[in-house]
Amino acid sequence: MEQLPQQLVNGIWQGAALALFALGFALVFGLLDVVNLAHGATYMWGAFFGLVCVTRLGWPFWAALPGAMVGAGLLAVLLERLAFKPLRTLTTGSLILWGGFLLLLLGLVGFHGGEFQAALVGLGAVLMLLGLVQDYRAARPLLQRSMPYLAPMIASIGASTILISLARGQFGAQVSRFPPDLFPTTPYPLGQAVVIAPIQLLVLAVALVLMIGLHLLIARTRTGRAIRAIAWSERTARLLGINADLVIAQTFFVSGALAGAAGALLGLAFNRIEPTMGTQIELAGLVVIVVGGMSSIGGTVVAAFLVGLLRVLGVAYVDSSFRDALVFALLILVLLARPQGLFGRASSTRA
Amino acid sequence: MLGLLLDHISTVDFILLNVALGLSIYLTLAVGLLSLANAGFLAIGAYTAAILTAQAGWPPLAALPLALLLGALVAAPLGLLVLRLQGVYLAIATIGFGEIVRITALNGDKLLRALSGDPRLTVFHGAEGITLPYSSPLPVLGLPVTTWLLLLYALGLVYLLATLQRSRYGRLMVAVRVDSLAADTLGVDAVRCRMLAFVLGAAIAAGAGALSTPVVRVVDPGQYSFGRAVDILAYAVLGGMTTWVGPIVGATVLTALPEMLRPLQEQREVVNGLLLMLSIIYLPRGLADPRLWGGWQRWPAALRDRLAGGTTEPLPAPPQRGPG
Amino acid sequence: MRVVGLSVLVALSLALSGCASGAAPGASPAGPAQGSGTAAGGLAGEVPVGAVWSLTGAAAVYGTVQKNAADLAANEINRAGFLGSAKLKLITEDDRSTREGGIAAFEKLLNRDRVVAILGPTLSNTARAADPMAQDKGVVVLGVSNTADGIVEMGDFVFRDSLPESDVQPNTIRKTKDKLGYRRVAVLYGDDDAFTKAGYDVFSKALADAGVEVVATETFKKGDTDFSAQLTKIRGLNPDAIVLSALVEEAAGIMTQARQLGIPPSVPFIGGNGFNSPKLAQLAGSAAEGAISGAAWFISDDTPGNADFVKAYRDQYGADPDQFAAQAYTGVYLLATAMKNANSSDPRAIRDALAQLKDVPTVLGSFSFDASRNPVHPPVVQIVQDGKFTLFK
Repeated sequence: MEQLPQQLVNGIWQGAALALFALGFALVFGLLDVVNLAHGATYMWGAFFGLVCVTRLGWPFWAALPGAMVGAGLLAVLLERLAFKPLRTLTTGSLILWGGFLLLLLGLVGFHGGEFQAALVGLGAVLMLLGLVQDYRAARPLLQRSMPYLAPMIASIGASTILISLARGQFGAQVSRFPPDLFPTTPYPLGQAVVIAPIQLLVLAVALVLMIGLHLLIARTRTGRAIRAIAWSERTARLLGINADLVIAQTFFVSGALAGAAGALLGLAFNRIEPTMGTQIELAGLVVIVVGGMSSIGGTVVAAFLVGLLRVLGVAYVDSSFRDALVFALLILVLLARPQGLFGRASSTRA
Repeated sequence: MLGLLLDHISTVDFILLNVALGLSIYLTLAVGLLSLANAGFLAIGAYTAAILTAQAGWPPLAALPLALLLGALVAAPLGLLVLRLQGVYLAIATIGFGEIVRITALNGDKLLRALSGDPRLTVFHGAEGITLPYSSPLPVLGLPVTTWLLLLYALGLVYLLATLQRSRYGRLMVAVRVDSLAADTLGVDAVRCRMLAFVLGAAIAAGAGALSTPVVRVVDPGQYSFGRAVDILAYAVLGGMTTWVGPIVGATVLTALPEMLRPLQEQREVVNGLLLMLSIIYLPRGLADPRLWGGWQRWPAALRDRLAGGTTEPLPAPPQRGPG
Repeated sequence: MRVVGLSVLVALSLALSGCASGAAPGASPAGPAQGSGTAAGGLAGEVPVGAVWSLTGAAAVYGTVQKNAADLAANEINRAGFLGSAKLKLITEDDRSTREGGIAAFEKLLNRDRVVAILGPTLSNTARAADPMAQDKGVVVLGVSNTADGIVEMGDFVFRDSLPESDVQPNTIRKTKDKLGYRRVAVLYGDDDAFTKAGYDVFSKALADAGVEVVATETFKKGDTDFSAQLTKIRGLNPDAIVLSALVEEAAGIMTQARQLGIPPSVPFIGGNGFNSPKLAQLAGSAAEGAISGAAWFISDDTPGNADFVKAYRDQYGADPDQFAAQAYTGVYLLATAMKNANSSDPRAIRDALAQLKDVPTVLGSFSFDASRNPVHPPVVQIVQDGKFTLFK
């Protein structure tokens, strides 16, 4: 029992990291009613972007972190244009984008080096860029679609597989890590028998800053108002003159940036960056957004701390083998008793 | 031709198994439910048969009825609990169920030992799983008996679903899928309809699990993870969710493809992901989309009816949250 | 649109049937390819040997290393003319770390490529599903990383050169207890991986036999990144040492977090084959100092050919080999030696010669198969010092 304070500390900083991840999830879900199951892969790529900034560009960590965020954010926007937007409206731009994407994949995966590969990749990238621009500026779509609303989730699963595979191809299947000594490692004592490592403090601090920033964004800025409008009703928002596609892209950018931050921070905290690192946290993230209710940032944050603490305390005081079972049991319990989540509005969760 | 089949018999077995699984998820999709619980029911059926074979020497065929029953028995209360939920929430709850099944299988022995007080009790074998003794399957008319079992099971399912689709119950399912609220006002018991589809789908998956044991030979928790549930969903998505032909096509392509793409080993995963994305975005009704097969209108009405079974609207439209 | 759709579908089905009816492009030609030589005849031509590794999927990290080492060995054997004028032809298949992949790979190698022996597969669970097929056809299967129970019991054509934990760890516990004199330990193991779980079973028995008290038993899962809850619990109990059955990725995380939480370096980690890898020090840095691993192979061991093997692997692949590599490398040499001794590429003859191998000089040490086709060679206990594994004395 004397270990309780340490266990609490363990649970809190991890809850903070989980909150960062889950917020990105919740943003997209709140906006578009879409569960983006490629969020975990974005998180993973954020970690790798951070790693590349440090190892190949030689940046210090405080520069690599925003680098990771920007990279992951852009990746998320690309993902949205490739996987989600075509399910709403198909334009010639999106067709060009897909053509470029296929060429890019062919180049990356089908050939090993040489000018032919470089040419294919280059051509693919150029086409993708053209497609993105055309898609954005399109006045009239080719096709307005009404897709079954589980289709984006399924598309995101396919995207996730591709992203993980590309990471494996680029970085190998093994575990990589940030260089040692990138960040001070001696833990600070917080009292009797309680320690916290500097990186864990950083995670806590960055998470808090980003959470506050997100709240300000949603509540105080015009973009935030637009996001809330679209979340309420996309059609009405468009009628009001809101450029829905731009706002959606911005939301995905923020969502991806949050995931990228979480990825780089946790990659550093655990010394472990690998292509499959997104899958475990994604399942935990799913539980968080359901438990928290999808309609509020505060709800998601509280739920994240709850789940983080449950994981740690479950191992500490129940049994380490059943940690995940406890988390899913919580999920099912909440879904049964209060399906809108602990903080959600009782709207349309019942069939 | 027979020799060709025998040379690839394991692939054939897995195709048949995945066809059965694809049909099980198709049933739930047909009433508008996205359930990712089928990997969990697959595990229940497989473990039931494996435990009976390993501990009591039962052949898989004997374990089949028990697996079907167990699948249905577990699905019934689960259905009552989660079918009230909608869309994404149902999907997430079923993912949770699948994980709980997997973790129970992984740590089942720990639980059993604690409950029975016997520290040596080993039934589930944890991560190692249960290994079934191998005996070269008896050939019947050229094909091994394990393949026959799977083939007959799959054919039986096809018959069941085709009949179901054409029956009055099939129309009810479509009504519930497209708009359950309207169906309710018309006197259709949407809840019962859904329950039936859910329980039946679960039983089918469990039965497939029982019949899979001689083919996979080792039943361990790692095979029944979230990834497996996603694979099963992919069969239905790629093949098409509007007719029972869809999952068959999807399962065949997605099972045979990795084997055919053997030379392209690293690229295989990218191709799998790509297929999923391309099919849902550009071929939303799947490969077996009746409209793709040119001149659909010229097919005899009875055949069209048999294959398409009512409207071709795959899944319900999103619920409206605001005024718009 | 409809015509396009129809023709795509037709093309797809043609492709499906076409591929199913013959070898896929790039695979070896079908047909009997046993290599010339009957039971009494000599070795000549190409001798096809299959290798099934997990090159993609969950176990890809291990499979790729095994492939590297096996290819290295095969090339060396061919270059040196070890088999006279005959050449070893290694046909590598990916089992995707899954049951179906393994079974299908074995099916292809046995039915279509007609190999005379198979190396692998990477995972024990895949082996238990696929090996019986080779046994049935009378083709040798030599596992190079299968350490679970029930492998060689599958039949007299199933061998393995990977020393199971039950042969390595009792020695580890004995040696370390004698030297360090610990009386209370905590045990931490991965319960969702057959290998680490089997390691736990062996350790817990060895500890009981040695009269060591186990103050706590905690578990984790493969892929876990956070162990603070388990380690905090352990910290509160003040054990003399922590016995750890884990793979290298988890082990590195565990050691780092243990030191961060304040578990002093005077409480060493003692573990098994799982973290016998140069990656341990790479990933855990200074936290790996003093970690003790009981293993089947040791990178700086002066076993026959080891230094050359390590150098050749380093030169070719730019990284240090680990135990998986060493065992795969040895496996190829064992098969080749058996073929040479039998002077035949007949599967039955290979099996018999393999079973009779005694005191073969390999990088694992002096190697023999016992009566149940399990490996016999001296295990080692090593300790990390200055970032490298050295012999524990």
